[in-house]
Amino acid sequence: MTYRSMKDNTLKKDPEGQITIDYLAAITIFIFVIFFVFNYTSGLFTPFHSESDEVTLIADRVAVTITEKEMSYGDMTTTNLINRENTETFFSLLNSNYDTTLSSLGLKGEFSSYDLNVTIENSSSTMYMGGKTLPSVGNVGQTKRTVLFEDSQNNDLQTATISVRVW
Amino acid sequence: MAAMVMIGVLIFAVQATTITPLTSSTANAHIESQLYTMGQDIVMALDHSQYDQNSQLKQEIISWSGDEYVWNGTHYRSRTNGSDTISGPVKELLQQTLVAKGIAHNMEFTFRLDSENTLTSPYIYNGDPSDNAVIVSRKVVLSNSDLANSSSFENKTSIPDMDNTTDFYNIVDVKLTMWRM
Repeated sequence: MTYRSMKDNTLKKDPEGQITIDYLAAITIFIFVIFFVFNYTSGLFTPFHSESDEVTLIADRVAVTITEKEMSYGDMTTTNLINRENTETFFSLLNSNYDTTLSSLGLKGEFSSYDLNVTIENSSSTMYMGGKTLPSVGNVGQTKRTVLFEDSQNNDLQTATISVRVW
Repeated sequence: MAAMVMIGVLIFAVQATTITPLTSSTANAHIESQLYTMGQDIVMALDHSQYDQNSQLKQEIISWSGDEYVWNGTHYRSRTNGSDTISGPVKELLQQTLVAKGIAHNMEFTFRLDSENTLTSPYIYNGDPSDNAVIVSRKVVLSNSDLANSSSFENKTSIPDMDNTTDFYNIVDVKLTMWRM
């Protein structure tokens, strides 16, 4: 095989240490193929992928704070027992001072801030609703807690579901 | 040779894709932790005793017929007697939470037979749980004074009196297993 050296423009005859342009093109295409295989399969093998992991964790934490601290009756053995007085205090605070309540729950910050919606439902109807209206698009993290709702004025104890939604 | 290389590349690519326990899917850690929270809330709410009354869960054990119950779409129906169904707060809460969300569930009672052996009897049975099932449990202490007629209670449920000399009757471990279908 005879070719021209790039160094001193003379004809050389030994084939050592050379790469042909065909081989270079083939390897480049092959590397691109590997790159696309990696890119494509990583999307293929993560089923039901969503970006709501972060807001779900925040919703979990806020739900614990609201249920076991803010609305809680204070029963050590039944942490999910809430009473009407504390529940109404929380909802009036959430609806009148939305931003203050959110920053006390740790949802407002310099870097990122979130929105909150809290709903309590019993077996037949919605009992309380507070916070912002849910957005129609985007990731919403949701946590539901089953609670015992005590209404000491009417001497009533019923089970209810608190839905905490963060986005 | 080229085929071997391509297969090798594919295997490597599949192995290298990151599927961690936190990757979102129907069988991930968030779903399990949410099921766990829900189960804890349910047994805690049922085991709440108001004004020193018996908790609903304890009342459920005391009035247990000893049968195994299966959800038939509207009721928990006894396997042996079709007209025998569960009614009351336990059924209502489970229907409101687990059934409404389509979460399959079993409830079992485990109690001591003597100083060495325990027996586990299913109370609500809806099939064998999946690998991602979540279990929560709550212990309920029964006293002699809780039972109107302890010998007929033992005949029905086979939960024996562990100590004849004191008021202690037995301790029942209520186990709630939940899983997504």
